[in-house]
Formats: sequence, C-alpha cells, structure tokens
Amino acid sequence: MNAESVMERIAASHAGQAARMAGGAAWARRRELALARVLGSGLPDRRNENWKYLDHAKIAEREFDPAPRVTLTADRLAPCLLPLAAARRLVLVDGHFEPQLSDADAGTGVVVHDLATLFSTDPAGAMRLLREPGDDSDDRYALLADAFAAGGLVIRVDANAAPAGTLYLLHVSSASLPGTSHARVVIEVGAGARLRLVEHFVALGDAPAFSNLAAEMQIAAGATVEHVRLHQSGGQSAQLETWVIEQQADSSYSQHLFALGGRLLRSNLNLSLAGSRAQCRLAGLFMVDGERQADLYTQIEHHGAATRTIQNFRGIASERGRGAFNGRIIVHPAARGADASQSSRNLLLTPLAEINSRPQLEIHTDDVKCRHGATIGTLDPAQLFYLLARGLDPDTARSLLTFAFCEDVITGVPLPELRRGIEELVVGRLPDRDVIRSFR
Amino acid sequence: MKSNQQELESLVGRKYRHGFVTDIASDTVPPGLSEDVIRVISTKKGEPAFMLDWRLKAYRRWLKMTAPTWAHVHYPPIDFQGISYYSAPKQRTDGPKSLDEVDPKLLETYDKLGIPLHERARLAGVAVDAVFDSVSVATTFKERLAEAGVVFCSFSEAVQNHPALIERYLGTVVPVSDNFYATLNSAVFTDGSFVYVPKGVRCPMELSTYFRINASKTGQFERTLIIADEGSHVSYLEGCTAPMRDENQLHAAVVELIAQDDAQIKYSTVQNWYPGDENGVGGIYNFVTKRGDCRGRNSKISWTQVETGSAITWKYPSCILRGDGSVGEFYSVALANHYQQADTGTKMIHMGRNTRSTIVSKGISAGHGQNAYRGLVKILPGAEGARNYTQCDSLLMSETCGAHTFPYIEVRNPTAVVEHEASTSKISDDQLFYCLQRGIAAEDAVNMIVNGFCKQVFKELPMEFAVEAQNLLAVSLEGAVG
Repeated sequence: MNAESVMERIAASHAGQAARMAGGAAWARRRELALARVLGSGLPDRRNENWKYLDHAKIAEREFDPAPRVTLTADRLAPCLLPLAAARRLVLVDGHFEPQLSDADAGTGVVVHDLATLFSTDPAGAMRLLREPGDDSDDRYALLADAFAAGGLVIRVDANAAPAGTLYLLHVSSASLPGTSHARVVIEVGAGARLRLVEHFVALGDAPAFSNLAAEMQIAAGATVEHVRLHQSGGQSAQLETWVIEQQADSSYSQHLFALGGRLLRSNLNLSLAGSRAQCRLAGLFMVDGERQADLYTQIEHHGAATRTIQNFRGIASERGRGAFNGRIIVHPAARGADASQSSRNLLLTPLAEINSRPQLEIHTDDVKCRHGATIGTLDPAQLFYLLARGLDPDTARSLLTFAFCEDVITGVPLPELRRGIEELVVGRLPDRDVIRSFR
Repeated sequence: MKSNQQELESLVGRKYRHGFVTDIASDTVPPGLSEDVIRVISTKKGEPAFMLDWRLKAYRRWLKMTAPTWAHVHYPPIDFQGISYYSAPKQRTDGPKSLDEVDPKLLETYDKLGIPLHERARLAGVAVDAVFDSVSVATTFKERLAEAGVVFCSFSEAVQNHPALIERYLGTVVPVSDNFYATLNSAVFTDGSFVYVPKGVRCPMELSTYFRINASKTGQFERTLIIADEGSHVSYLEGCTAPMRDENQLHAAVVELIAQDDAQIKYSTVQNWYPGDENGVGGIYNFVTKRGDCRGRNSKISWTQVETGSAITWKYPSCILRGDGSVGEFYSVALANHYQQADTGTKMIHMGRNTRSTIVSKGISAGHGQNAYRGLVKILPGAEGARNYTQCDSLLMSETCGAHTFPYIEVRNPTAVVEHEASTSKISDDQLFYCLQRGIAAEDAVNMIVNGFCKQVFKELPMEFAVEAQNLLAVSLEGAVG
C-alpha cells in the first residue's frame, strides 16, 4: 500500500464527513487547513528518526472512514470497568462523549464539557480551547485529529479544588467493524488544584479499529496531577495518541503508563516544564507478545529553573513482539539547576522479539544534573540459578523474575485497588500465572 | 574566584598555536567538480583503469545523493564547485629521493609541528608517512617494515605497487554508495595511507601519519586502508594540525580497516585541526567515515580518538563485528569550545556469536560549543551471547554550551546483554573547592579534573599521543571555566 493511496483515502474520508461536522464556517476552514497540511506533509514514516521503530504499514492498512456509531448499554460496559471505589466516570465511545454512560457529577470543582456540543453552541470558544497542532512530525497525528475534530471532552478543575476520589476516563473502541475514530481531550487544572485521573483504553470487538487521540493538559502553578494510563485494548486495535502537557511553577505531575494491549500502540508525550520548580515523574511499562508492538515516545522540555524529571520505563518483549522506547529530555538555557534522570530497562525473552531503545539528552546549559541509563538483556542467570536452587521449576522462576521486573513500575501506582488490578493484568500475561499469584 | 575568571578569560583568547601557512608552490587543479576533473586526478596519479571506473561510478552515484541533515550541527551549504579537488606540492623532476631534496620550507613546517622526521623519527621509534596536502612526500622506516613484510605506503604507491590488494579490498568496508561524503571521497580522493600486515606478523613499530591541510581552498579527501591478515597485529596513529585560515575547508576522509582471523588493529587519532576563531569564523569541516570490519574469528578493532579541533566534526568510527568472538572498542574524548560543533560517536554492529563491544565516550563542552554523542549498538538475530557496555559522560563548562546524547540501542537477540549509561554535569564545585583549598591554582585544578574525567580514554592511547592529548586539551580549555 503506497503513501499516495493512504493520503487519498484520508482525503476521501474527510470529504465524506466534512458536511456533517459541527462548528460552522470557521471550523470548516480550520479542518480544511489541517487536512491540507496533513496531505501536504504526509504521515511520518520510518525515515523520520522519531518514528523509525513503528510499523507504519500497520496503520496504512487501516480503514480511515469512521465505523458506524454504536449505542452501548451500561451492561455491555460493565465487564470492562476497573474496580475503582468512589470514581467519577466519563466515557468516550469511538471518540464521542456518552453522557448516559457517564456520571453526571464529575466531582466538586470539576466541570466537564462535551466537545461535540461546544462545537454547535460556542464554536469560537472551542476554537480558543483547542490547540492548533504544529508542523512538527511529533504533532502530525494530532493535526490529523484536528482535521477531523468532532468529538471529545473538556475537563476543567477549578483553582484549589481537590475533588474527592478519582476521575475515571474510559476510552472505548467499539471495534465491531473496521474504522477510524479521532478524539480530542482538553484538561485544565487550576492553580493549587489536585487531580487524580485514571485513563483506561478498552476495545469491545476484534475488528481492526484505529483510534487517534489528541490530548492536552494545562497544569497551573502549584497544582498536582496523578495520571494513570492503562492500555488494555485487546485484539487488532491500533492506537495513536499525542499528549501535550504544560506545567507551571511548583506544579507536580506523575504518570503511570501501562501498554498492555492492542495490536499497535504509539504513545507520544510532549511535556514542558515551563515554570520553575515544576516536576514530573513518568513511569511506563510495555509488554508485547504475539505480533504486538508498542512504541513509547516522550519529549520532556525543561524551561523553568530548578525543574525536575524522573523517568523510569520498563519493557518486555516476547514471541514476535516489538517494543520501542524513545525518550528525549531537553534542558533549555534558562533551566538552571535542572535535574533529570531517565532509565529504560528492557527484557527480551524470545529469539524473534525485538526491542529498541533511544534514551536521549539534549542539554544547553551547564548548571544541570542529568543522567540516563538503558539496558536490554535477558533475565539474570544468577537470579535464575538462585530460584532453581530453591526448587522452583525454570518456567516459574522465569515468570517470577519477569513479574519482579515489572513490579518496580507497578508499585508506584497511587490507588491500591488499581495497583492490584494492574498486577493481575501483568501476571495474567505470564506463563504459570497461578504459581505467581500464590507468591503474592 | 572572580579575578581568576578574568585571568582565565584572557587565556581563552589565546590564538591557535599551529596557525601558520607554508608558502610553497602547489600544483593545483582549478576549483570545480566534473567527470573531467576526476579523469585529471586519475591521470595525474597514473592510476590503472579499474580505479578510474571506480571513481566515476562513485561520482555518478554522488550526483544523485543529497547531503545528510540529521546530525546536530549547523553550517551554511557547501559549494562543492568552489573546491579544488587536487593540490600537490610541485615536484622536482623525479620527486625527492632523500630528505635533503625535500622542500626546506616543508621540513620547517614539520619541525614546527614536532613531527619526528629524520633522527627524531628514529629516536621516537615512529615510522612517519607525512601527508602534506594530498601527496605523500616522505616515508621513513620503509626497510625495517619491509623486513617484517609489512606494507606501509601512501595510497598512490599502493595503487601502483599492490593493485591486486587495492582492487580486492577497497570499498569493501565503506561501499561506494555508503553516504554522501564517503561517496564524494570515493570519487575524488587524492591520497592517503595503505597498510598491509601479512599473516602472523606483529608490526615492529607504531605506524603514524600526520595529515596537514595546507593550500587554500583545497578539500582534503584522504583514503586510508588497513588490512591485518590472520593473526597479525598493528597499531596506527593519526594526528593532525592545520594552518589558521578564515575560509571553511572541507575534509571528507574515509578510513577502512579489515581484521581477519585473530588479527588486531588499534587505530588512534589526535585531531587538532583549526577550529575557527573565538567568534566561530573559519575552521575545518571534518566529515569523516571510519569503519572497521572484524571479518575473522576473534579479531579485534579498537578506535581511540581525541577530537579537539575542527569547526564541525561529523565522525562515527564504527565496528562491524562479523567474526565470531570478535571485539570492538571505541574510546573517545571530544572537545567543543568557542563555536565548535561535534557530532561524533560510534556504531557497533554485532553479527557474530559472542561478539563484544565497549564504548567509552567523554564529551567536553565550553564556550558556545555543541557536543553530541550519537551511537548505535545493534544486535542482529545471529549474535548469540553478544555483549555491549556503553558509557558516555559529558562535562559542561559554560552556560551557553550544549551537550547531547543520542544513543540508539537495537536488540534482536534475547541472549544479548546491552548496557548504556550516560551522565551530564558541570565540574563539581566541591572538587574545585577541594583543589583550591590545597593551594592548587584554579586553572590547574580544572585541568586536573578534566584530565581525570578523560583518563579512561587517554590510557588507551600510545604514550607519546597520551602526552600530546593532555597538552592539547589543556591548551584548548584554558580559561573555559570560571
């Protein structure tokens, strides 16, 4: 499938939908322009260093027309839900907000807008709210989402608000038929506010659906955000996501990313530590087996003085799985006293699996402390020997060590019930899962 | 501290020590590049037909290529038609038969550079194949090497005397189509060094070549080919200085190393070309392709480089670890001061079983210097039991400099173990304070700390080079820290 045909199919899909999209002439123009820019520059490919480890053919072969809208009942959704106590749920199905599946009250100090409604009632407001993606290849899929901007969510947390419980944002891909969905999510966290957000990605069907999420978060001064992101879509789903996060002074952001599902996942995060003393802590884990691939890309820019990054990513690849970590930390001249550490550790378990790691530091001032480390290897024979000497059979020993390898990332998850859920998911992917469970 | 800083700043302004131009008549082809120019080069050098064909093939390929843009360096586009592709010191009728016949000004130049020619060469125990611009003019210790069966000569001589070896090995490590600058080099290279160490021979001395760019507006396109046959051992040193000049000069060399079964090649470089002045005017563009092929079982190729010169350095000495049990090493110190830009690193391609590689890279950035480490460690599916350890550290010495680390780690074999670690920081205030407190001057303290930082690499250099490298670093860095 050549590049022209992909662009032609995207253009055709756009032509088919444009008339139905809300927002009036101004939005029609913005979408047209975004589309023209996508068509002009094309989607990123392997020749682009930041995209070199992704199997672009797997995206090109997707259907770019949207799948027909489905109506889901709460019962259909129930088996997918995470057991989160006192969580306020917001549900997006194929990129569209579903109020009847969501909690009406998102919590004290939290205001939620349906973007689809906003396009009709306040197109100018939506225009101000939604960032216009740039020309950078990192932003190309966000640009594609802009060209198809129709649905999504705006979440505002008032200054100094501390909503009780967790905000649970569920992304559902119906995946009953092949199709593409685009979604926009905008989150604004006011000064001094606290937010705990759990994002959960599931697919209901087995069709090769393609979901493209463009999201952004503004974290005002002194705010604290805990963000757990769990990709659990099964089957053939392909997920592309572009997160842009900006942190003001003294804010704190932590993210726990688990890439445990889907045929293909590419996660982009561009995070800017704009204000001084802002800090972020990013943890990530991918597990790829079968034919699956995960490509985690992060770019963290230190602009403010005394900003801090701690990044800890783990990856496991087995069977024909392919995993990639691309992490770049940029320290700009003004970011004096910046402190950044980046770690990418990976386990390669079988001969046909592949792991690529690209931890990168770009530093433009001297008053910094930056370090990174990356390892790719197999399980430590000494550790394995220790367990075998104690009578464990080799498979169990291997599973136990693999689980221990993931545990480092899992233990950081803020909610105990969520932590247990994720542990269960990870263990469920290992051979001899019952034995491992008995150890815990 | 403040007064020290002023003192040091005055030292930063120190002019390039080796900045002088030797005024001798050159036999130069007018600027420009075409098939005719390549034919002229080939004819002037009296090359066999296969060489001309090879050059033309490269040229035709090059015409279809575009200059790479991925490196973390910035420079105005190069006018390839504005460069003269051939410059040789004018020869007396048959060329110099002994040192007495060599142009005295040339010898004076070597003298200033401290090249151990005539008796100094003997004392230093170094055989020197001095490349003055594009043609080799003097080679010493030929006899001793010949006794051992080692061929060490200029590339042109090798084309005349050992065409079979050239035809067999040239371009087998860095193919004609490898990259933009390597392809350009293949088309227009004028000279370089050739080494062949026969089976089981341990080369009796360190081999050394001094490169020197002299005539204005001539790009230097060196080609070096080193072949270590089964069980042989050779150590090769390369060092460079260049006269001061305000016009950027292009240097696009290609170095190919081939190590057969159980052979070892150690290749050391001290590069001190003109880096441009303190405002970033002038300086050499150093776009080099260096690659070693560990073809045989248990062969070993080791690269050591100290890069303090050049306005722009773009260089990735690499190892293809093809033979089972072969070993690749890369030790590097790269310094970028003033407006220098360095994008350097290595590639270790593991193909054979139980192959091992070690990478130690030390980057120092000062002034507005930009220093990037870019490295690839690739473990192919067949590289059972491969092992890599990479360490790259950066030292920052000013608010305006940059230090960047871009490693690529690609693993496709589960028995491989690959480790990479890197750190970036400025000179620790505590260390500096400790030294000052003990009465060590700030500058000496900085030198000491920097030398300590680079020690791991310097200890890999042959002794004479290690001394030169330390001095070079001290001169290049004077006053860079306040």
